[in-house]
Amino acid sequence: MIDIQNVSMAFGKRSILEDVNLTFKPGTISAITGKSGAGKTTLLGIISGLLRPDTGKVLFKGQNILRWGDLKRSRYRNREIGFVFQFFNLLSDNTSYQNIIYPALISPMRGDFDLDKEVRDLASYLNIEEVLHNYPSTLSGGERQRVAVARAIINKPKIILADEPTGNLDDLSAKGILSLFKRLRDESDICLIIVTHDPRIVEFADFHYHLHNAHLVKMKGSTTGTKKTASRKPDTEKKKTAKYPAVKVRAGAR
Amino acid sequence: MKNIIHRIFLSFKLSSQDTVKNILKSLISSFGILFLISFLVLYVSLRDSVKNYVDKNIFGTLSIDEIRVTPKMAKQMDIFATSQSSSGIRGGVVAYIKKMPEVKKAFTLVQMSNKSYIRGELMGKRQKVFMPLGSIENDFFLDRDPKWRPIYTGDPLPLVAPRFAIDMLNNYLSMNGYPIIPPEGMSGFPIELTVQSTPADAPEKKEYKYSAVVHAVTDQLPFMGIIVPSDFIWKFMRDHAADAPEGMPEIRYVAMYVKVNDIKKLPEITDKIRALGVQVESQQDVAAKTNKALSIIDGSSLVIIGMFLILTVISIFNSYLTIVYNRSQKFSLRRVLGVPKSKIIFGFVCEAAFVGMLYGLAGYYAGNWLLGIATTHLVEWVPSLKGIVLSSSGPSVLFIAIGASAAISSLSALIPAVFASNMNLFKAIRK
Repeated sequence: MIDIQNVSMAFGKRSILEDVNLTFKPGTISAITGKSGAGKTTLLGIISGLLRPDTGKVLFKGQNILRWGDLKRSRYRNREIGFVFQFFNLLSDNTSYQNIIYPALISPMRGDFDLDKEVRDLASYLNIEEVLHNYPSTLSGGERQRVAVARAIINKPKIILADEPTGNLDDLSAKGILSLFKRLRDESDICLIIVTHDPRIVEFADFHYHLHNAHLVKMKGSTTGTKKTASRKPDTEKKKTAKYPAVKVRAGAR
Repeated sequence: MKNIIHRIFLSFKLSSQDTVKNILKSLISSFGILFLISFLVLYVSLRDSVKNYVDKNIFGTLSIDEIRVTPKMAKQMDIFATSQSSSGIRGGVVAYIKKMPEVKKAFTLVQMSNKSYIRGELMGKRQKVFMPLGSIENDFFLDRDPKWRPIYTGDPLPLVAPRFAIDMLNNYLSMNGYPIIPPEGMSGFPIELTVQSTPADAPEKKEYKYSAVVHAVTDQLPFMGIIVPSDFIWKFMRDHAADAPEGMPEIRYVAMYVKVNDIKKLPEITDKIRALGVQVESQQDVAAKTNKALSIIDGSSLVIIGMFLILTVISIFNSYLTIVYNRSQKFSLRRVLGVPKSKIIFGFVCEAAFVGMLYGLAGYYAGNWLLGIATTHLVEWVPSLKGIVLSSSGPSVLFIAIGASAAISSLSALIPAVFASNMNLFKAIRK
């Protein structure tokens, strides 16, 4: 789905990434760990097209996103990528509902689907129906992060980039988010790339990469692609059990 | 389709709500524009008032960009003389002046050398008064009064009466204990006009009578006769050419009113026309003094406006930079979620332009309010400006105020908008 080839980046004389090669497959969770300042978030920035590496390529569906102009990269971020952040980053002046629909309204002409129904389905899927019309300041950390996840998947992205998604949550909320990620992986073909320090994420991730001294070291996962863990349901069963059927409807519509 | 329309509506609603909130927060940042626009309105009104004052009171009947050309050595009264020996401006000179590139418009006042009388009934008495006939282009009056109704030959023949005649009539009425007639009351007054087609001393006089009516009263021409439509004079001359002895001047160019393209070149053009052998009421000194006065008003006002402008731009720029910093998380988040740079810049600049427009409107009314105060107290502050009437500026200034204010505000916000679209997104989000 996304190939990172020979990517290197330095801030001044300090090398952040050196000759990084990496492939992310659909329906997998990849955990990226490393010390603070190791370059984990920089890597997310490069994958999303927000940062340009000094050298290398980032291929999405075979096209180098680094060659695209701002408009095309913005569209790629809007349609193909969902973001989840440590500090939720919800728009404080807008309700949960408005936060969730925001990415869908950036390109309002795209696809003939009922946005309101999508949000209701998502809210039901993420158990945030009760707080849809609340402002972020009135929500708990777990609820905010679930609203953020809803916002991340409203456009049915192919990739979710999560930057320390459990870093600001209590244990119970963190577990809720983790199980949500597992469900997303099991019930759709989304590729989750999670920058984390949380060993629980590393534990259930299909792949684990560690950034050390600007180099990426593979700690876990087969070299041939998607890792099917024992806990995951087969693809045929995915469709039957999907609690958020709109994911499939929209994926087909695009 | 219904869903798309719904999403467009939602998008519009959400961005409008957001914009309204942001605009309310941004209003204070652009407060300086209010002073700038108020001063601009004051300046424009003051300048217009001074120009109007000069137009009306210093140049008399001449516009500030106008020159009066009369025959050489002609005294003021020569214009009114009926003597056939008085020569007018030569036709060649008239044609040359009209073709000069520096000349915007030229109006020619012509006078028939034929003798003419008017006869009217006043207070039960029929009065017969000698009155020379002249004519000038309708545009001459239209330039001075846009509401002027042009005159053309018709039955009855429309006449434009000189103001002095009405004043004399009113003196007469007043002396006899009658109520005076205001100039506008003369409109429609019936008169019998008699025009002689032969010279005054011709052995056999030929006279033609016309029923006429007073069309309007004017004080724009120092012509002690009656103005008739130009086509009437030319037709009369053509129709009765056989009555006049050969070689007799029938029509004289008694004056020209020349409007110039560039008022600053007035002295130069005056000299050029004077060199043609005519007398020019140049008003050079007055024009030069007026130019100097206007230059001082322009210069000092532009310095003040410039200072206001610089301070305003710096203040708006700084305020918007602060706004960008405060809203950096929002901007970065939008960028991350897929809003292109151009849309961020456009939105921010539009927001600033809208704030600017609001201040432009407020500044216009504030300026006019200050003008009202100045109008009341100007004579107390500067007694020598007693004659100047400050009038509030019209809708054109309102549009200028709104446009200028929007432009200043959006230009000042442009660089902060570019900063907003280029900030370190992940760093801002992690704040």
